[in-house]
Amino acid sequence: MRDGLVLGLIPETWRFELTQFPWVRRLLKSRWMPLGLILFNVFLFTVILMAGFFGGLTSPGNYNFGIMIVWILWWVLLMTVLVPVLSRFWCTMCPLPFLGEWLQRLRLFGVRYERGRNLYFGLNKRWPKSLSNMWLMNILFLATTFASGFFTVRPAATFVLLAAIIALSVVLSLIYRARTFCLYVCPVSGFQGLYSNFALTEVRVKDPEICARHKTKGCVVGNERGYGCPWLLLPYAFRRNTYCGMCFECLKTCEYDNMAVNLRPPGVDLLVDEKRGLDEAYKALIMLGIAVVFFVTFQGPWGTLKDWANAATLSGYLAFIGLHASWNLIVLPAIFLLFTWVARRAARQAVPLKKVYVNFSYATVPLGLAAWIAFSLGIILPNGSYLLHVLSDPFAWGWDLFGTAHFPWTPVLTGIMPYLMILTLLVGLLFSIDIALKIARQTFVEPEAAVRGAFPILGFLGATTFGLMWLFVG
Amino acid sequence: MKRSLAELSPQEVLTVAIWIEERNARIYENYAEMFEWYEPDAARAFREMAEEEREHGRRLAALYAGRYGEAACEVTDADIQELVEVPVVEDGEALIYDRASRRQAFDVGVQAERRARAFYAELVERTADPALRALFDELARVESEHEAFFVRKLAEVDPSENA
Repeated sequence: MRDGLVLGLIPETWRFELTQFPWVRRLLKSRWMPLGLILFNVFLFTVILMAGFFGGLTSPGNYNFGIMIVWILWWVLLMTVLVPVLSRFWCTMCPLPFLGEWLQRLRLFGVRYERGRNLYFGLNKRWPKSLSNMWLMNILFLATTFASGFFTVRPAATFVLLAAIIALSVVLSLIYRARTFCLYVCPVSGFQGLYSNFALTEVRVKDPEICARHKTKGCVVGNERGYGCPWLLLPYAFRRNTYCGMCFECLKTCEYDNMAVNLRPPGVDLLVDEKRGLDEAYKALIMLGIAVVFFVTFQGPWGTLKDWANAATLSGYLAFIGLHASWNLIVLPAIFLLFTWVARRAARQAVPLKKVYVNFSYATVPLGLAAWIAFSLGIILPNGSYLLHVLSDPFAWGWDLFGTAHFPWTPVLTGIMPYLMILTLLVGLLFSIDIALKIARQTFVEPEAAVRGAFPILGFLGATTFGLMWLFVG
Repeated sequence: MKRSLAELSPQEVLTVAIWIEERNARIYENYAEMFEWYEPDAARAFREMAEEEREHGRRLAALYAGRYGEAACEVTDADIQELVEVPVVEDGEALIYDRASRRQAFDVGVQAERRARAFYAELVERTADPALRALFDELARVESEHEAFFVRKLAEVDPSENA
């Protein structure tokens, strides 16, 4: 793949500014964005929580509003559209930190700004340095997946999970400053952050020289127009999507209208050679590993594994947890370590193995995302029709709000679903190869060494892809 | 319309140099505010650098007064094309990874002064006008002293402090 071009076609530097359109800029600068979206989702999640509470332990999962909206509709939209296209746009409208942020600001609409600074309620403490990374999110997300067998069949499990997350976000918001919960704790935040580096959308500064001359940096400290970046970024300087929650506060606070929302080629942030860390490397591998486990367990032909995940027996459930954790924390990272060791040997360059390992882990992101998209197809195509039922009868009380309560189960495109999955994986592989070759040049510098060093990684990617294909289509 | 620094008169260059020091003082004050709640040591370092920039500005103002007396000059740093000596905290994720430190704050100052010294030194090479060359040479020497000050501050920081 030619350097400077994504898949040899699109310049990596290509951008199309969406905020060049006055109505887009007005919309994003309005305090109703994203408050309006958040309030809608607060309503929606209230219904979800009620459905989870009333659904209890016995209501069928496919007829429960909470389960269907969260684990079928939201999860599929997140993986197939929101993250790959719109980066962290879910974080823009996420209702989970809403209460906590409301308490911090003591205002629902408008900005608390007095005596030259934004005002916040709470202790405003600093998150511990040792936890200022993705490790906690890695562990929490993995731990959450241990209970996946419950979430999709027991509405109460979804209720408990969401309620716990909301409670935790409120507590942390009162102790720590800004979006600390979202940055370091939220189980969903970690993979959104890493995978958003592949996304087609970004928020970035337009002209860095304007910011360089700017003496007050309202985007960071806030002003009467908005709050300083709640995600603790320095908006004038950040270079990748990982921690940008797309709240658009910087568009509101920038005194020079110098922030923009752009369309861009996919995957360009994966090539930003800074802040790469073992925490993010593990996030990439954990996501790939969990995709494998989920497919094997929930869409594969091995019913025993599904029984284990559903805790049919305690010993089976513990075995599931043990295998799941071992695969994701030890086995897959070790396999990848082997391939990166071979890559380093092949390149014959004095680059630390850790750097090789971490760098190349970012090349697995497109394939990991593709695996999740393919897995999501396996969810939505057979089961999407149940959504029509739960929309009309959210609490299984015999309602028929929209006349769709008796809509029959109707699988869609399941005949070609395997081919869609294959196609998705191949597209992901293509992007991963492109990224891997470029990362090889970054890591090993000398062109021939980079080619030698890339081959083992391409082998890993190819083997993973074909392994996933075999799992998905047999 | 913005002009290059090399196109200005010596009086204008000295005026811009004074504005640059004042601008930098305000930028450092803003960085101090940015880091105040997060890392008070870094904020304190930025405030020290702000005060030092004001002192630089006072010395340049004295130099200007010695040469041009009370004569006014309307040009400012905003009127030139180049970005000279702009202190920039370039790590957009510094607060997220908890990497703001006193050492990093002084490093911002060292880098800014170093860029300024190199910039004025380059102008010495490129400028034909003798008076302007002499002034750029003097400013390069002044920036060298500024750089040395921040380097000393950087050296005073505890080497064990984690950057």
